[in-house]
Amino acid sequence: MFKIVSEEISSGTSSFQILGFSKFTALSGEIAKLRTEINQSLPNPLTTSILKYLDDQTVIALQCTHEATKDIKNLSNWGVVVSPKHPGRKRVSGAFDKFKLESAWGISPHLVPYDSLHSPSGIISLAYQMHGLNLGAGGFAGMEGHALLAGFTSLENNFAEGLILIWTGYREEFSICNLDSTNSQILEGYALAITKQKSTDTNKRIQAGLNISWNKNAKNPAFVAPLSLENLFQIPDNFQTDWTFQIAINVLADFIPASI
Amino acid sequence: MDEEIWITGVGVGCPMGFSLAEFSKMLLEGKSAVRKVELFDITNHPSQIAAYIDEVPASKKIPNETFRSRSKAEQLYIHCMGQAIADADIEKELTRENCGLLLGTGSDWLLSWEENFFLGGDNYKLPGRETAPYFQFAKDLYQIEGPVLQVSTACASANHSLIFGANWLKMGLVDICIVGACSINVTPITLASFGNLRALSRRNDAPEQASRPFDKGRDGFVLGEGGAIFILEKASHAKNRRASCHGKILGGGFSSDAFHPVIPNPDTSQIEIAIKNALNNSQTNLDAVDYINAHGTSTPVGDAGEANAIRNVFANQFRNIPVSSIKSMAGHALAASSAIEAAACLVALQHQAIPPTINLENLDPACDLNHVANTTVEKKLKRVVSNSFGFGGSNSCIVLGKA
Repeated sequence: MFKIVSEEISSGTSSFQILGFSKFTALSGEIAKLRTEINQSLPNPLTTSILKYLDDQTVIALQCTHEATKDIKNLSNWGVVVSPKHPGRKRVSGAFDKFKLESAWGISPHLVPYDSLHSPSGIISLAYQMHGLNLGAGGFAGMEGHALLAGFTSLENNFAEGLILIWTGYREEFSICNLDSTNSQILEGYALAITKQKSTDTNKRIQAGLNISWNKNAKNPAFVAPLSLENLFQIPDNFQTDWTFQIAINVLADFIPASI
Repeated sequence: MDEEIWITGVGVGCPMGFSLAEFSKMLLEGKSAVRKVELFDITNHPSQIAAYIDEVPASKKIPNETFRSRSKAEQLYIHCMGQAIADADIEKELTRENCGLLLGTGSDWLLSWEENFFLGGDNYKLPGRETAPYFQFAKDLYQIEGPVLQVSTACASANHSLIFGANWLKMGLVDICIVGACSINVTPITLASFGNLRALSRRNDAPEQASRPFDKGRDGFVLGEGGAIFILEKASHAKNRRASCHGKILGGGFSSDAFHPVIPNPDTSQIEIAIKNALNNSQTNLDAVDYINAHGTSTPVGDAGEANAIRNVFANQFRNIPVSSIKSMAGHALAASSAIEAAACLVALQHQAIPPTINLENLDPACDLNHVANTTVEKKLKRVVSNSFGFGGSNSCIVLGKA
């Protein structure tokens, strides 16, 4: 699936330790139950008034964070980067329909806080009491590489001690003209817990690392698959070798997974 | 020691002007851009005022018909990016792969669904109908081929883009970096959503007086919109091509409140950490800060918290450091606000003059600071600080330096 790219053309490399990872799949009809269940396992459980407004992708991101960080003792100085794929569709759809009927009075005040690109990362920082930076990256299908680029920039410049990188989305986007069908849509999430520093606070450290290299003279790698949620899900759970990603600066404004 | 990062080009488009010169004039004259919203029916909107753009000036880069066929947000990117590129005289460099694009954003897809909805469409209901991010058309127009990153920390987004962009240059990831943000916010749904959140001022009968950061009578922020785009280069790269310098990015810092999705933490320690991180990162001593461009949105809780954080960080120095919030004039442009405020800091550094917080008539004692109230103050400025905080508890602070 991935192409090996020569190291010699790199003009810079960063290496990170992977302390945890998780992947999670759920049907949209299962989100309501998951919403309640996940809250019981959060270090800082969310109030009902927050929990009930979370977008489905934020719920998945919380679940992924739970799994990816279970062996990390202290997340206080960690940050989080989330790359959802156009979240908020269900609520926005309802909002537009209500606007037709009730105009401004019908619009929920929770649209912006809970359905924007920044929303999932803000919720995770709150639930896990992470005080490093939290941000959303990308936001559109095909922009999953933005999370890795944002995370890499943050850790390389010591803006956080470690980072949870999370990708979420529906396996296939769906029409919400027929609301019944929304219960059978598949939601996916993938998370990595990475740090630059050697950590001593975990006993079950995954040995593989994450290497990112960049260069200004990359050969044309047009046939190489870009980073995507779909491709992340194809990585075996028991991976032991390092992941290497390359920023192909002159060809694609995105990451190329070069090897795993 | 790291090489200096220069800002060699600036493009501005906001209700206070469509060039740095226009923006400077209105800013230093202390004029409000807030007015009654006439873009759509505002009946039933709790807040009926905003600082908004009627029409983005046409671009010479493309035919007017093509330009007008794009959404206002795309037009704004074309305008700001084009102006910044022309200002830096760098267009011929842009097909090179080592020019990166790093922008702050809110949620482009929500706005694109809304635009489509009000045109009678139903893209929001159907799969695969999401339009490209708003920067995409300008990126393609200027053939920017380097790495691209779109980040969001709500109202702090643009500060992140500027600080990350400076770091891309330091890391050698790119030689030129285009940073900033453009955001069109004054739409029926956004105005209603923030209005119903009770975040917006309801001083509908006096628009120009509605945004009053740090004043006792403040009752919420005023929605704004616009953008600013900057061209960043290492000093050596800029000097090699004899580019001029508007100012320097000296460093930045971040933190998260981890308190609430909307409400700022009354314990301001995380804001203080973001400011301290920025000062450390830029090797700036407390007594070297000549001006603080406050986040200062005009919300009761937010302004008092920021003032408290500034007092705590600067301790007995705080009375020596002038503070102002240009949101009193420009409104709150959300994801683009810190880009517009970075442009305001460059204006301050270039003119050696601090734009005021207008409408500051009756200072809230909880906001006690060395305020530049109502009229511009001339001052020797070398280093300035700009705070920006966002929903989700994101705190950011950038330090800018004189050219």
